[in-house]
Amino acid sequence: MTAHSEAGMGAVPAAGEFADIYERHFAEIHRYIAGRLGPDVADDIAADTFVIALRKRDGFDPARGAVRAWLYGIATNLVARQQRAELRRYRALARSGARDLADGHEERVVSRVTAEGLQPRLASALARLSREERDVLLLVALADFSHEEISQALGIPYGTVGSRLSRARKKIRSALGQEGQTDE
Amino acid sequence: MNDLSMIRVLLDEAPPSAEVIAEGRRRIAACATEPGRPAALRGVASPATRPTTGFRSARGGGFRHRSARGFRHRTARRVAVGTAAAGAAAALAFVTLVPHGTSAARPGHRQADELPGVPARGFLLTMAVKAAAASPSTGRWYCQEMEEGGRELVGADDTTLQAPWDQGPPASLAGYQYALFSKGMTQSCFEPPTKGAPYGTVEGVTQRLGAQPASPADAAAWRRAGSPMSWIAWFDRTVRITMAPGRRYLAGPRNLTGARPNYATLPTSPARLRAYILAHEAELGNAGTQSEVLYDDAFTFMNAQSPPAVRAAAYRVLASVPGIRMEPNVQDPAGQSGTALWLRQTGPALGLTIVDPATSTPLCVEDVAQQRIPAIHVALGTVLDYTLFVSSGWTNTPRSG
Repeated sequence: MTAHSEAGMGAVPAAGEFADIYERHFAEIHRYIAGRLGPDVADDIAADTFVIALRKRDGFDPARGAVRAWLYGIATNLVARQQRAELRRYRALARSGARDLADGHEERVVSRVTAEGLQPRLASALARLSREERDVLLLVALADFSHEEISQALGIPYGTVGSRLSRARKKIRSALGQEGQTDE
Repeated sequence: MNDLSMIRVLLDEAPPSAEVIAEGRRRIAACATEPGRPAALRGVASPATRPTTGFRSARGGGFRHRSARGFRHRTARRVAVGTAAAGAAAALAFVTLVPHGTSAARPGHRQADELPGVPARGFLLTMAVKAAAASPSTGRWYCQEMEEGGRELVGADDTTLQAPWDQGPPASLAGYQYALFSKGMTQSCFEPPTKGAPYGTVEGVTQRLGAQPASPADAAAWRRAGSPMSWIAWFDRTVRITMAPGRRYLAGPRNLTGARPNYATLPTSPARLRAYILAHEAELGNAGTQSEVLYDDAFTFMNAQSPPAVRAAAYRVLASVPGIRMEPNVQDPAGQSGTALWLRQTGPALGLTIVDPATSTPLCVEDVAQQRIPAIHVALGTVLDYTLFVSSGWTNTPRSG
């Protein structure tokens, strides 16, 4: 779990605090979006997330949770509008997981040789999840969110988070041939 | 590594550059000074220098070193004949896919709009018979050599442009000057699993073979631009595409980490092979409609690593897929004549698989333009990229190293 309390947890962010919120969270929101949509699209969508947050900050309900969950909720909604781009990314990763341009460094090639065996399957499996399952799974995998935070970010009941996550992970493990494994 | 950490590795991207962060700050500041916004928000970062609309990312210099993964995701379906599944080549095929050099239609290579073709079912069944009659290949290593080529568009400042057939949102072609074709090659050898290497081992050699102007007209434009010998890649400004061939890189031998289909035990009945493909769609790595998945995966099994009976079954699976067309007497980039097969698709590119009708062996896969793009001198049938299967087979003496 990443720290989320500094940036105004439990209070409507005051106007002057927004610069802090941006500085504190922009990189991780960018990383989450880049993971789902690719780095080029992420630049715009990550900035959009903060513009929307700023415009809608009056609607931020501290009773529903932390600023961090709120930002990821906005980012996830924006990602959902780009579903075709997201699926395209996973399919491209599935097709070309190992087809890299390695800029000439043998070490990089060698590390890929061993690391990439399962990537095509994993990328295909991600593309085949429902959007709801993917939202929950990727908030855990990329943002290290707890069930509680996901429930806040997506505005869905706690129990639904658990069932979606376990369904998603079951599908992923089955695609990877890891049915037996449980958790880290 | 569990499933969550594998997802993190798969989707990991470089952090935003300082420029991107600064641009976001400017947008926030501009937004904060919109009419009706509290004046206190003006304290946010630097003053607005741009309107909030029309934001373009300021993706600048050289922070994507690590992110070579995004290399070249062509939009067209790419059939991985014996590559993805062979493991060896797939794992080593980092070679720059940069483009080769002929332009538009080659002799004997009909343009795409003239490629109505005919239904391929009868041809595919004939190929199944030829495949079944081939002698099985044996040996300790499965080795193959591939040559890849692709068309690159050069824009201003000797920097390439994202092409309409590349993956990703459409990008501007402003500043286009001329086209290059650049090539690379990969030799790789795969050794099946042993006790010490449960997923097998792989080793190989890769080399960039250099880039050249794609046509005489492109060569003239290249000379007008000052005859540069290297270009900056649009997808990663740290990457240089060069006219001169690069050095040979040796990789491996290394243990593979993921299981692959065992070619020796794949079903030899078409119905069972079809069921196997559909049941293992995710792990075989191709997605799309059922026809697309069957088409891509059947060709994946169409390499010399499979026993003849499996290749024959794969051709019969293809014969059952509706919509596969064929055109005889098409030349591949090495000048070999073959029969082109394709499954109709939308988008700027059409993926062709060219097979040798005498032996049923795949010679090449290539993407050709099926839309004319006059601004960048792409005609119907222009070769956008290709992978040539130079050689493949089981051997007792790995050739790389």
